[in-house]
Amino acid sequence: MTLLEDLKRRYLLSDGAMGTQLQLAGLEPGGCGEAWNVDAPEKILSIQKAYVDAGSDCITTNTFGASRVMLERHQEEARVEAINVAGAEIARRAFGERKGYVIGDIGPFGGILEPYGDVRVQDVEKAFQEQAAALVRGGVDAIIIETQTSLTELGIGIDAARKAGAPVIIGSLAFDTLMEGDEVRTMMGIGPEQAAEFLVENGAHIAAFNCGTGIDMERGADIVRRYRTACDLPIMGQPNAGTPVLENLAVVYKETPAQMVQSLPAILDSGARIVGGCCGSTPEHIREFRNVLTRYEGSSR
Amino acid sequence: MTDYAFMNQCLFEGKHEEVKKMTEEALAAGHPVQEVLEDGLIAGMRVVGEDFKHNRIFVPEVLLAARAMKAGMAILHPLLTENKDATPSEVIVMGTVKGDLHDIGKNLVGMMAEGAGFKIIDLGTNTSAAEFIAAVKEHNASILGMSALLTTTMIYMKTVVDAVKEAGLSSVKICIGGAPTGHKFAEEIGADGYAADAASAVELFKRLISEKTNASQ
Repeated sequence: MTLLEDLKRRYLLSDGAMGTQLQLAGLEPGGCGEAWNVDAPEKILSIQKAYVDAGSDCITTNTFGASRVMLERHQEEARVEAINVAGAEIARRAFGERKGYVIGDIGPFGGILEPYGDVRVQDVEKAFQEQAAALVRGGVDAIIIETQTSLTELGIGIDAARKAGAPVIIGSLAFDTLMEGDEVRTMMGIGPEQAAEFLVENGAHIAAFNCGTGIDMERGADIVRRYRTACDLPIMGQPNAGTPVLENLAVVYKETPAQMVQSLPAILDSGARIVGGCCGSTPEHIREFRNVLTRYEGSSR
Repeated sequence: MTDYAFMNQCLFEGKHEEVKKMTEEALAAGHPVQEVLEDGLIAGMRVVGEDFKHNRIFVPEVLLAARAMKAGMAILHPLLTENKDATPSEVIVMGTVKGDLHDIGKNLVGMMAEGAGFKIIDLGTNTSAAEFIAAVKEHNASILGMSALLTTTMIYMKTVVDAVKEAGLSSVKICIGGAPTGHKFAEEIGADGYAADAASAVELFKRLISEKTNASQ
């Protein structure tokens, strides 16, 4: 059964944050966490195993910044292929004997495309195609192009995933809460309806959102509702563990698992079929997600 | 006659070729360089900043307007530098802090500040305290701007603030920005100000400079 078929029958639980978990495991600020897929695979495996143990049905590969453009910043571009293939294999190993879906992660390339910025479309096309192909070779069940703010870049990612033969393509945008009013938009000014229509037109299979400034579970439920009105695609939501707060000169995500899942039924009521967490969420959060999801499914039957 | 309102509108819409042409024409018609800069370019960027702050426009529109501003500045710049009577621009040294490679926000602040008449020394990403301090000294900067996108790298801002104080650079004002930072954090690390977006950053720079000028009078 493919991920899309499975989604028709049940809700799927994805995983929580990778970045904040890598930092806990000792990644230095600004270090290249994706290189650990090759250099310290057991650390990645143990994070992802913790998510599987907590009840995740989908594990996202540790390849957020593993496109050539991003790896160049760490002088790691010679290992694009190895890092992405290993990322896919580790996520698969995390499931052990259990059935689960590996979602290959493509994050933003970190700049601004022509004509607004100075990065050439063809360079990003090449980088995303190379990364998508490596993820597919590594055996992923789907590719997610995530934390996207520009439709042009998102479109390049979707095309790259399709060319690489990814079985399922997920387009995930990062919306920010605007300073005035209740509106949400991406950094590049895209609203949820526009994003949903774009995802349909460009052949994505799942419409998703993740991360974003001020986007917690409740705001997430609003985004899901707006996606729902604009398209019929299955919807995936991965909000942050609340809004970070300052504590002893450090910013921390304080939303506890119990607090975070309070609005989980709201997000499911709005029509989300895959849920999980972004920045600050942990295996404990995902475990609580699993509990609530099980109860929710039981009561809606 | 030069129609500055129309020039502002062209700048707002990002029509860089038109802005360049109008800048040249204004100079050819005998308008002073400083006036063309203020009324033609900076006034236009002010509207861009205001609309951006209030979410009426977003990053793409700002970037296009900044490019139009640059096209006009390219014409004015040689004249401004040879004009000894003009007040020298205040210098802002800026960079993303050590360990952090994110620069979209910082670049936006740089462009908006340039559009408001500041001179920008951009140190790029992954900038150490020593690099910030050397640049502040070398360029006699009025403002040091720091950016961080990661919760783990923003802590380094305190290292920079402490090092700047240690180095005895008491006259430079330190401003910070970036998604995880905020007013409270700025206060806690001893920075002089925080801004939530590029337009507010420019307002903050102006306020700090005028406070400094008033204090020294």
